[in-house]
Amino acid sequence: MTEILFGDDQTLLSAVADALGKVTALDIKDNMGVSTLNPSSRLREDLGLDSFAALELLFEIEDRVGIRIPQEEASKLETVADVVTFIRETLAGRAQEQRPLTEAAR
Amino acid sequence: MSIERVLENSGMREEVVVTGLGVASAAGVDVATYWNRLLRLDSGVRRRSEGAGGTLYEAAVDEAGLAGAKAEFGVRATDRVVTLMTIACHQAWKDAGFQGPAKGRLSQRAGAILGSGLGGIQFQEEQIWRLLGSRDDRIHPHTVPRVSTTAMVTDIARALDLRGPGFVVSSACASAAHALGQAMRTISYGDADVVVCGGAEAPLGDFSVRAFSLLGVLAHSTGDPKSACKPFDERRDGFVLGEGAGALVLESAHHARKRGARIYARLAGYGQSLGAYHAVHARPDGEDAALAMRLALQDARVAMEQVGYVNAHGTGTRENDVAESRAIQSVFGTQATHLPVSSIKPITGHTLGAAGALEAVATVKTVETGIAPPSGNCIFADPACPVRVITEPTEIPKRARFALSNSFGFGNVNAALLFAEEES
Repeated sequence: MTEILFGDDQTLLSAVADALGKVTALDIKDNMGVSTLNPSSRLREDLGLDSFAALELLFEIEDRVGIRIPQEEASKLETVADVVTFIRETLAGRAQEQRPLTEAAR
Repeated sequence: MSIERVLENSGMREEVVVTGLGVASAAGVDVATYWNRLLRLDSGVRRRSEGAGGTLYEAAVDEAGLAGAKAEFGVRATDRVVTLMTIACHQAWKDAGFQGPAKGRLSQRAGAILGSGLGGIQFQEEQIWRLLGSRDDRIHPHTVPRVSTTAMVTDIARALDLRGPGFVVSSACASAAHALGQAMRTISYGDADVVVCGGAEAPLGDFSVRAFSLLGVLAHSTGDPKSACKPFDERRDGFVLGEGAGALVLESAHHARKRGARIYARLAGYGQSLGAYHAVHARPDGEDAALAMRLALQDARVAMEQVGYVNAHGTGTRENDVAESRAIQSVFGTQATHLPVSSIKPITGHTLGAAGALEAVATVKTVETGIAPPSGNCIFADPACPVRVITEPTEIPKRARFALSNSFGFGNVNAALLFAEEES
């Protein structure tokens, strides 16, 4: 998966950073309050989240972006960028599903 | 012969001292601010809502102060009760002169004994609301360990690497006092050298506030929030729910002296009793409360004349203050007419399972400084409460630097702690 993020991915990245800030005491904001979270950071090795903590992170992310991350998908997410990409693709997939409905309603 | 007597006779009972203090309260998130506000009667009570039953008040911990303390100690967000407890414990640990987590032998010889009446009820309320109210089956994945009151102990144990004795004590509004007493016994019997002890409560969710208001025990008259709670005053109509945490580092005197720690006070006596009377009403004669106080004096082998101050449970309900006054009279007889008594609950709110620890901190500061904090809002002293309620900071004579801290819980669960000045 890509580790270079553009555009709306920055919004998603800050949602992940926000969730991470809630579940850990990691210092991931600079003194202007801007996230310094590196997309290439690995959830387990770099951020120190065990599976118990990762469950909580994903729960907080689900709350913030309004999606569900199934257990089997969760275990495949290794880096912050993986999480952002997963959210983007899930949101895009949902937009695809909703479009015909919206058009049919017109 | 009891084990305790055997230990006493063989001189094995360890003396227990206080070496660290910490608070997270509506009256401040550091001990210096807290003590100063108690002396100045600077109340943390505010208006919560207006309803059919009158005005509701609360004493909430200042969010900015909490955020600062969380950042200072690297406390992550968990349930509010755990957050409050962890902050107070970190403060007390640091205040005791320990740098970072316990190391080596200290780690094995240090424990955490903490109290709470309701534990993670606020988190529980939120998750139950998600599941039943919002029909969202995604409840928090850590619900089990967070709703468990034990989280208070396990969180601070991990942070400070405490590997000695640890458990939670729950006895309603006496929880923290019992936790301190059990911590004292744990050290006395040689099971630990250092115990971080105290209590926390976070009862300001809608569910708890509603439940308490149904009991008719909350202050509800209109007026200045800071004068809502009026212990021992004729006009009193109940208490103000408060959140908060208090923590003390208790240590064997031997261990504290060996490492050159500053000693605030000795915890000289602990007494406990049950009233076996009613689910919420106080025993009118106060004899159960009196027994706890007497046992604390006996435990310390201190004569009543040596006691210079009583930090009252003093909730500001009609019943408690009368029963407690009778208990003080029963224990102290004619001395009760001049023995200084005060309640800090008009300033901190009634923090239920944390109250015993926040009040112990105030009592320790009293024996340390020789100044007792005043009681707020007692203007028209109730003749049914014939004790000397002090309304100004009051100097305690040097010959009487023993101070009692009373805690009485719903269901007539009582604990009294006797602190003593450390002779230098």
